[in-house]
Amino acid sequence: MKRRTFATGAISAAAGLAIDSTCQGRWMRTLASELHAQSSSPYRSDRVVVVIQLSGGNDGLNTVIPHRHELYRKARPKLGVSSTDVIEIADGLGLHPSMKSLDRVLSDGRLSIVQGVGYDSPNRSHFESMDIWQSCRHKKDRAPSGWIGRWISEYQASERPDSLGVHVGAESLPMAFLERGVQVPSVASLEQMRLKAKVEQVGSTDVGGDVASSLMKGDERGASEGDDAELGLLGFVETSTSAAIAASERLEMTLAQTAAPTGFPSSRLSEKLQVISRLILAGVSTQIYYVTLDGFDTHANQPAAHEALLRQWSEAVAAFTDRMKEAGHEDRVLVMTFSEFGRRVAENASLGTDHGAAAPMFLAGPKLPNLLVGDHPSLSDLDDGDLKFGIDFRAVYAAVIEDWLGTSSLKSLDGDYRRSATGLQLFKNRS
Amino acid sequence: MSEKRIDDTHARVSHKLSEIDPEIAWQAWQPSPESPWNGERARLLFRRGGFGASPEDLEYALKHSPSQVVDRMLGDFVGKRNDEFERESSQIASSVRAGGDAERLGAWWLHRMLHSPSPLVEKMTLFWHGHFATGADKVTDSELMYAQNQLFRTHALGDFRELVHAISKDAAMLIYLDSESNRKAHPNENYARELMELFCLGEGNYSEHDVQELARCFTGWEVRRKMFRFNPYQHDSGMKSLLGTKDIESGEAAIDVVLRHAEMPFFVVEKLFRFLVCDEPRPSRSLLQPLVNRFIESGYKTESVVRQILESELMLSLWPVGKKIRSPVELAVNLIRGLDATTNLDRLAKALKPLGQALFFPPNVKGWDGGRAWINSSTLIGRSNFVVDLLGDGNTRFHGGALDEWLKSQRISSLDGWMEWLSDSLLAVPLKPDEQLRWKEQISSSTNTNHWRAALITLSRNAKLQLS
Amino acid sequence: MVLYQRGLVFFCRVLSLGVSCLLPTTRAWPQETPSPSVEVANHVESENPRDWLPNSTVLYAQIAPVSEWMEHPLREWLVETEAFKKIWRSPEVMKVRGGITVAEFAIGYKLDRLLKDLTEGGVYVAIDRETKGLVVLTKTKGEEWLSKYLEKALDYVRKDAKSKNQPEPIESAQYRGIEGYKLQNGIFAAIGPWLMFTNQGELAKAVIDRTVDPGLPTLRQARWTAITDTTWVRGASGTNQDRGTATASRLVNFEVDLATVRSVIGQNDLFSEQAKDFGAELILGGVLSVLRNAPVVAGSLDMDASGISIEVNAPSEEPWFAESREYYVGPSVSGRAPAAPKIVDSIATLGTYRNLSEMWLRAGDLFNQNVNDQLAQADNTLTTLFSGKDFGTDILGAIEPELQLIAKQQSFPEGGLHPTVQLPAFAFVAKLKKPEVMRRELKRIFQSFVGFLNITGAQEAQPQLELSMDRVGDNPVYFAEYVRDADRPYENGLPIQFNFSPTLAFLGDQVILASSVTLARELLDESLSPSQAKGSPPDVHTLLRLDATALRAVLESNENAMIAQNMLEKGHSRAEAKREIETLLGILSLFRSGTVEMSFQNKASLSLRVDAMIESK
Repeated sequence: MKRRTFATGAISAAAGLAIDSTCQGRWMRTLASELHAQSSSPYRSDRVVVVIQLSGGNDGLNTVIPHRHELYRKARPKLGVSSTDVIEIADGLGLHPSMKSLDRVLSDGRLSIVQGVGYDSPNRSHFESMDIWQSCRHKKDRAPSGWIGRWISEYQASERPDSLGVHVGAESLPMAFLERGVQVPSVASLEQMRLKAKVEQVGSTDVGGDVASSLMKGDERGASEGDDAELGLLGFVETSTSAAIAASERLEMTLAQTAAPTGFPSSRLSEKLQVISRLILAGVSTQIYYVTLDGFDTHANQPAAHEALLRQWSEAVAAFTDRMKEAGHEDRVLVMTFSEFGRRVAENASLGTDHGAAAPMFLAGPKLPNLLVGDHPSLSDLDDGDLKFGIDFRAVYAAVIEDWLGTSSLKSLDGDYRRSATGLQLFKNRS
Repeated sequence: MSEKRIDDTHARVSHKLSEIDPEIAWQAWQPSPESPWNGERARLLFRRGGFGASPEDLEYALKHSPSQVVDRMLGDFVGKRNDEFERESSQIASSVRAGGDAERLGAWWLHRMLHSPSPLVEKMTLFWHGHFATGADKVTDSELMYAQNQLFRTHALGDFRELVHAISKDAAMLIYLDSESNRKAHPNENYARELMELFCLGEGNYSEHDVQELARCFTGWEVRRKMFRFNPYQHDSGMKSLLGTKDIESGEAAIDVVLRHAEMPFFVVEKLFRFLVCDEPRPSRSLLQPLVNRFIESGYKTESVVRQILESELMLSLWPVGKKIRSPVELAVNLIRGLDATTNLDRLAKALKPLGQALFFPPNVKGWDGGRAWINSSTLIGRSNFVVDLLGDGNTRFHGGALDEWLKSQRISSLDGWMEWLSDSLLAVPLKPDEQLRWKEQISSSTNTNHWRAALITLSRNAKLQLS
Repeated sequence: MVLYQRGLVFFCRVLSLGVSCLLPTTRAWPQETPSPSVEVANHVESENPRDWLPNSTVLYAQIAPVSEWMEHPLREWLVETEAFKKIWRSPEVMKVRGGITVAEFAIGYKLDRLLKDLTEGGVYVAIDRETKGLVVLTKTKGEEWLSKYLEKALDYVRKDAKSKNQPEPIESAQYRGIEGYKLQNGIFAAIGPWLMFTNQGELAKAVIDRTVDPGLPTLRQARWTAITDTTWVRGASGTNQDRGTATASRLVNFEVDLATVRSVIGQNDLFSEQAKDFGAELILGGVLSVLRNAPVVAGSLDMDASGISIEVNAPSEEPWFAESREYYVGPSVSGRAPAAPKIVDSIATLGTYRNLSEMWLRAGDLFNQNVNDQLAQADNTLTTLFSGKDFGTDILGAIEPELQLIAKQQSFPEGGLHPTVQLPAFAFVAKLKKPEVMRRELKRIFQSFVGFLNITGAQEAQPQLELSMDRVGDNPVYFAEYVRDADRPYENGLPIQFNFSPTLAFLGDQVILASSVTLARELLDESLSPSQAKGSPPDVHTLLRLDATALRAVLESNENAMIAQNMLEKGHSRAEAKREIETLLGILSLFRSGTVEMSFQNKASLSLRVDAMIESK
């Protein structure tokens, strides 16, 4: 019998059409980002956003307080914060006294308060409203998909050893990260990012050389074919491994240098931000971190609970931004805080407040041109007892995605919010 | 016949998938003097058709033919159901189910993967769990997740069409895809879309109009009291057409239309190929054609395709070696089986989460993407830490005892011997001499003074451990 | 749901831990009936280590001779148990036994005999502050015996080292006519018939100095030991109502200079005024006050044929309790446990004094900022849950501080469906302050609570509760039972929720909160019957009684679940798991009951007593 040759011309031609699926996906992504590259600034792949989600619905009215307003005093006879206690930031407008740790951030001009943020026909269910904030979609008619997930699917490049997004916390992955084909790590503690059982990296520099050698030998097992520029599977895992070890070594170094990071208070949020600060300082190339702080559903006995939460939040944010500034990273790390809704203007009968609508968002970290963005929602023109929103939350997201990260927000937000984002002037001075 | 081979030791590694002749690729592999049935081939078979070979598996394999090994891995399907194992497993299931915690179902399943006499059934159950991905985070009821898992097991190697019909009425699936209620006035497109896009046909083989029409066919399909129910009052009895077929009467008939689509066997077979043979590149249609034919001829029996792949010239020529990245479950179970170990399974189930593959909690409806998606800094560090934790866990035992004793019983007395044993049994792709040397240096500079353990820990940082 | 499961796992773990902790103690029970001896000091007549130890000693313990430990009647039974045999034959023990046999042969003495002779006159342990050293003194069979066998032992060690090509292992030196030997970090010396072992050379010198020179300050003169001599220690020791003390043998006595220990350890969590941990404060609050102030603490371990008891005593003074701890000890330390109802076959009953409302409202003084922030949030959630009633004032404030908790195994009808995992039922009993007002309030809160459970349960696809009302005598019983799904086959038995039927019941001014309506009814029946024993032992602040037989019954009914749990947790095969669970149940069957009792006697001392009663053969 004649020995059959293995390769035939026809088959080779057919295979030429069958491009490796992963690789095809990546091409499409590159293409997509080029198409979308209408963002006003170039992609700033070193910029970082830390999203803090205040779960339960933060009482915005008792956070950024129109303390002298007659209607405020009337709506909050028991819960109202008195003018003598607030931290005055503008005429008649003050922060809750428990936020005094933000003093320095305020005086440095590193805080922006976006007032009256919300969305059309507000939903007062925690779950539904949170889904809207995280998915940027009103109806649950499609598979769960979040704004960060969609952003990652557009911008995650395989050369980047770290995931573009990381969720820090023990709870389940927030919907904001969900998207087909996107897998985002949930980091419950720093230990998860540290190599246990230390091994001296004997000749660790060789690892790179090894990758190069395996690159050259295209016939190595585990090498893949198709696109020549593509590393084989083995080469890919080797590069990723040396990147992971290097990241973990940098992390160990920053841990050794700053054995006990100063200024971080002991609270759950602070611990999470501490983890993030260490990852950032270790040079991990993640761009969006996400943490949550729960407990804002203050239906009863609000004062002590709300005060404790605001203190925890502001102490943690102050410590984190201080740490970034100290390490010279303040111009690339932005903290963005939101809650799924605010609370009703009028207090209820059990010293608490019920689910409401519009509330402020907070940006902190880099020098920001305006302390106050947008107007405080009217206390007289209410929507069924709730504050009306003046700024769509997606406009704030759009500003962050476009102007801070320098990427396109169209796919991520499932719509075009660029015009309203520009109007906010979050990062640029009003001309 | 013997001349038609892929397996030419010198040439095999340079073969590109696109250059492989489909007719030769899928014929049954035959041993020959230059390519004998040996440990390397048996290990590959156990890695792909199961969760790695235990020392006992390997001993069996070398005394039998590849097709007998596949028979053994199929266990259940050739009638050698191991009653004792099933009794043991169902007792564990019963205790876990009583608690109602879906996370612990993962521990029960890991027990099956580690100890089932029919590992191929568990492997294919895992395949379907990823294919028809349903997450307990949304379904919440662990009983429904358990029932779905049993459904996958029952149909794991059976008629694919029956599986699709069954999963379409599976309560967990319908809850996961928001199809608990499917009313005439508001047909839910979620399940309709995924049935075509993710489960049967793939993108591009249907139109948006088909999605809307299929959704109408499913109106009246509901979940009530945690069970599927057809509500005729909510069924849209108007004219519906789908994928070119007119006058579709029912949801079942619509599923049949989807299943009759010419792309269906290609879609399913390609996914099986990717699961069993290699992560990349994508196989050509002509390479898949013989498998597709076999699938259709057998009446869409998954077993026939799986068996053909596992016993094929392509598989046993060793071409697929190192061409898949181990999933976290494969890594963990391979390691434990390979070392003849037992450990705390609750902890093991939890340990898979940071590695990106928590059983019963797939990331989304598309399941685990696999391949390169398994790998990033945090999962790689996690994989190494997993090995450290496994060794450090007081409940980890090797053949019921301490590592040192087990090594003695395996007649491993030197570090070199242990390194050789590890690389033979755990690595798909052997280490090169310079890599061997570096590994040894790392062992000696490890802070862990126990050389046996240090060897494993340092190996966990070697990229080759991640390949299957 | 997850919580139930975790609870069960925890429950099983605590149990196995508790039992395994007892194992090493039980192993030492002597074979014969011990001679009645209460004072270890009987073994020492003219010579007493109190006169040799420096006055900077902070801990002093007297331990009975090894013979007394080894000759307990239950030892014979113990060595026959599976658990003991397994340990005895384990490779680790076999290795040690091999080594011992070699040494025994070389010295020409059996180890158990050697230990008996070595400790014939008792063992004395002390820790010294000045030298940071530990010293152990044993009175041996005699001076001649000691010098002979010490020499033999040293010889053996030297030869052993030589055979292994190791350098000379023993250094020796003379100090004031006494020969001292140093082996690794330990120092030995024979002082007459006494063998001294210490880890600090200076301490060895200090002891030798005092045997020679009686003028030096000794432990007997240390100021703190004067306090341990006063009546509160002797008065508190050794009267157990459940069994006479006539046959009890005191095996260990110890006393600690707590004031010095505190000053050395300094400010740590245990001694800080503001607690970091809510649970620890709730359980130990008042005890911590005593530990923060008491100059000394002393205790003992007694054992007789019926069981073992451990007792710890410390002086206690009213001013030591800050106002914020009044919730724990009551006004002027008057808080006492209520009389517990006698429920047949209960697993555990707990009676204690704890003013929960006061604790909640004083949290600001008791805890640090972090705990208080968490409590503020909990307060907000709980107040919402309780329909706007303030949790601290209205809910916790509705009950008197005398609290009772009862746990009992549930019985499920034979043949019918029952939960796959069977949990015990729990009940909480307290007196209402304003029964006429609170009965209605609580009833309403109970109704909304059940509604709340149903709504959250529905979101998690859990079974639903059905609310009902019933009467026992004139007393109303409100309860909610889980409803079975008519369409569901429950082929795996009922889910864990079916262990619960939340119940609220009233009996006069008492309120009963129970996890099962059956237990609540039983409590009402018991309390209505005239035979109910009332009254609690005086001075008792907290009394916990455990019934090992009832506990074992609960575990036995869950044996399969425990075996499955063991298989998952330890990776055991079914056979291995079954063996381990059976061993555990076997060990448990050794015990009949246990009590933990805490009392403030005459307000002048705090006494904590743990008794474990052995199941007689």
